[in-house]
Amino acid sequence: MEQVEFENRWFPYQENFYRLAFHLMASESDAMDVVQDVYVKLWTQRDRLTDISSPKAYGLVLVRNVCLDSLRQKVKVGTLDEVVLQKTNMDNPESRLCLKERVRQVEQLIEDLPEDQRQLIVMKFYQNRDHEQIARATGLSQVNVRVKISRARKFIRKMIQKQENDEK
Amino acid sequence: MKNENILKEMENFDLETLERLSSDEKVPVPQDLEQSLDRLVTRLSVAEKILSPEEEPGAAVPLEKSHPFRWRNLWTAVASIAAGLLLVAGVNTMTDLYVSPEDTYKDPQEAYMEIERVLGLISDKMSPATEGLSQLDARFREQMDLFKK
Repeated sequence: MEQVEFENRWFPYQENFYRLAFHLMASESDAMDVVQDVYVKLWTQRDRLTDISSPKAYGLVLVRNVCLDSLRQKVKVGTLDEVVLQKTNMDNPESRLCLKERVRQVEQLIEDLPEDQRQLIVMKFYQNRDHEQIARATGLSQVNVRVKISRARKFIRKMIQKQENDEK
Repeated sequence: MKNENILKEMENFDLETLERLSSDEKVPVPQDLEQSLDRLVTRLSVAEKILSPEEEPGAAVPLEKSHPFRWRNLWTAVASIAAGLLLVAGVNTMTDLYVSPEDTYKDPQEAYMEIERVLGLISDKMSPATEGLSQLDARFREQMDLFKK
């Protein structure tokens, strides 16, 4: 599912999600964090959620669960029943954090690319131009554009892999 | 304990309660909410595309990507085919016109005798003409001599 389709499906309820999160978290900044986490989760699972009959209902339950995650991290719950935790059907909040960190790493690596490669990455992935348009704009051949972008992506993937290995 | 109770209560909120809380218009929504979420999804999408496995630059590109359909391309193709057919037809026609005649004699001796006969005929025909030319030549010289005098 592409970004446009995703936004058409899930963005109409963003205000509802925010208001619920605000009620549960009692804080504007915490509510914003929750809503962002919810959309990260929806994005990573978007292809599995195409059959959801009520996106709004699904999203509200998800907001509640993400709020519970966040509150449990803030509160000491040593006596909380483990069975209750399992029943809430929440994903691991750390995995959402890892994903955000991954995104940040990719963006930093894009900044570190040689200028010509960085420019091509921006045109291709942020401005959504195709190779023909990029070639016309830069004066490069389409083959050259493709090769340079491929090289940049390989570099980024290699560095991410290296960072993952260093963390282990 | 109080916190645990709150969390348990929250856990038991039914959909109707969640809907009611989410529709509370007294809660102001940040003006940049949509923009910040759009930016977030863009960042996620870009990172995902960059990190996903890709085809090699020299690999076969799906036909639709390398040769998208355009009416201009169709016209060019039709015109090229028509031009090719015309060229073939033209070469064929020219070949028919300039095919060298087949040999009519199998026996070289026979072919030589025929050539001699034809040359003889030509010579017979030319003799009266050449005699006439000689007479003309003689009269021309007479005239030239008169002129010189």
